[in-house]
Amino acid sequence: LSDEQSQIINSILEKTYYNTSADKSESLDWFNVLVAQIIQQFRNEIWLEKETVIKSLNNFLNEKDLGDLLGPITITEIDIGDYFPIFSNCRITTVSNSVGKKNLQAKIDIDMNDRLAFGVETELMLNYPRAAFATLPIKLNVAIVRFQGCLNVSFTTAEDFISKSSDTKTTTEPNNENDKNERDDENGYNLIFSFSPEYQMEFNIESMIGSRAKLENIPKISSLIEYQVKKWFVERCVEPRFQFVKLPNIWPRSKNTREEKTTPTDN
Amino acid sequence: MSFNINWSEIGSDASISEAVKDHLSSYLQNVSLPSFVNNLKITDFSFGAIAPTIILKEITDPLPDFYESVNEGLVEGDEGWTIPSPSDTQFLIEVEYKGDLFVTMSGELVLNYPSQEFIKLPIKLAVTNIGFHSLCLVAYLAKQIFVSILCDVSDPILDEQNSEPLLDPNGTFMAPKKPFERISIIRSMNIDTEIGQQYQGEGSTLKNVGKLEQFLLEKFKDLLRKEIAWPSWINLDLSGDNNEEESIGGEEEEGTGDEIQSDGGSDETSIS
Repeated sequence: LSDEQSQIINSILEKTYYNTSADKSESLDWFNVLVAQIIQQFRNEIWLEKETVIKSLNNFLNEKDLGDLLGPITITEIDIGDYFPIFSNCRITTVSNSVGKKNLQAKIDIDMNDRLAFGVETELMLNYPRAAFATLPIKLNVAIVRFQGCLNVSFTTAEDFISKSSDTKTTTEPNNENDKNERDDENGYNLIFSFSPEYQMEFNIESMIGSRAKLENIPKISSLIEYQVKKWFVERCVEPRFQFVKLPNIWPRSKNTREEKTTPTDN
Repeated sequence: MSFNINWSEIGSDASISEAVKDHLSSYLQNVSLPSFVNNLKITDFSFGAIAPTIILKEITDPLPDFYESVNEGLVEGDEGWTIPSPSDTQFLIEVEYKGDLFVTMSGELVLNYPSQEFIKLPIKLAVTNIGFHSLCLVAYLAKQIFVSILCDVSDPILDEQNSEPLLDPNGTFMAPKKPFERISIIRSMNIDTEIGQQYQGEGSTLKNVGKLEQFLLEKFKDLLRKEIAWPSWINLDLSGDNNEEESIGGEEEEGTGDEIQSDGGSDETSIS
């Protein structure tokens, strides 16, 4: 089986004129420009609807059961940055997974110098000896100002991976719709990506704690938040965990066909 | 203050007052009483309406002592061995209390003059006007909360160590681990006694009442120093079944090394 995979991989590399050991790494300038365009579009949408976005995020956070440790949460700031991530140094390698199955993988360096920030106001609740016996007001501004890492991208079929989410396994009621979706998930190709563990994530965290007598920018609070954010990130998209994205069908179909408007509009 | 406290939450809850009352009662039962007092019981306890003021001074990693306590009896690598986690937190807080909390007690005053147990008098005591202003540690780790009183805010030791961080485990402040060196934690406390009308004016009776007041004051200060003042602490376990259980840990001088239930164990303190 291993030989067969090696043959397929070698055949692909040969017919695409790629030599994994001799080819120089590529710059991805063209890709950066296209990605920047999508991010810009996303930012515009958020800026236009900023109040609505904050409001719906507030609703979302407060409807969610966050345990009884935190009081109501108010979002005070969202900053989605001014710059764009820069991808570079792309090279193709052959990797084998834990069961020895070989695959082709693109390794891409990513560098982001920007400010992605999130500000919240809440209260830490002390529930001893009675619920909400004492509360400690907390204001936080958490910004990620630098991210550097190596992104690994490959395509694969679903059978090689198990889901880390418990939700998909504990579907209690048999549901035709779900069954169908699950079967679809098992078919076709998926894009998987993950970051190498030696990534760097730099934070700028501001904290204000207390009701009248306040403590400002406590290093311990910063390290607590850094720990939680990195934990969230590592548990989702740092090796050996992968993010798994089902690829859409790109076969040309009439329902996906468009053409440019011919009548000029006012703007 | 840094914390907003809903003091009325616990003041209005009879079950909490009752629990504290029971707790104090069992402590009192284990106190060796002097010859002139019998059957001392807590009759009433109230949190009062005035809340303490709590100011947050510092947030740090918990002191190594708390980990040592959690890992006591375990060998490194054992199941349950606790190592510091980034989510463990310790608060240094300043607590100021000058409220209207009160405790009332009843007992018998025994007059040993002119002969042994010559007269037994019913007696009522009211403890009021409790005041303190102290630095305290509150640490959270391994699903347990540790609370320890460090010292009074005007303790001279605080002036001496301006140059080094207060909570440095090797610093002058935390290192000695000797209780009783610092000035008293309780700043004020009144004990008023009430005895039958007909005995007022009897000098020998009143003299013994004064002794009893003094005795109880000392007992109460001892309780705080021995059980919740550094290097001892109160330990609240929030994990699993023993949710409600409260136990005392720390470096008990006469400690067996195990955690001692705060309502157990004898107290051999004698008075002169």
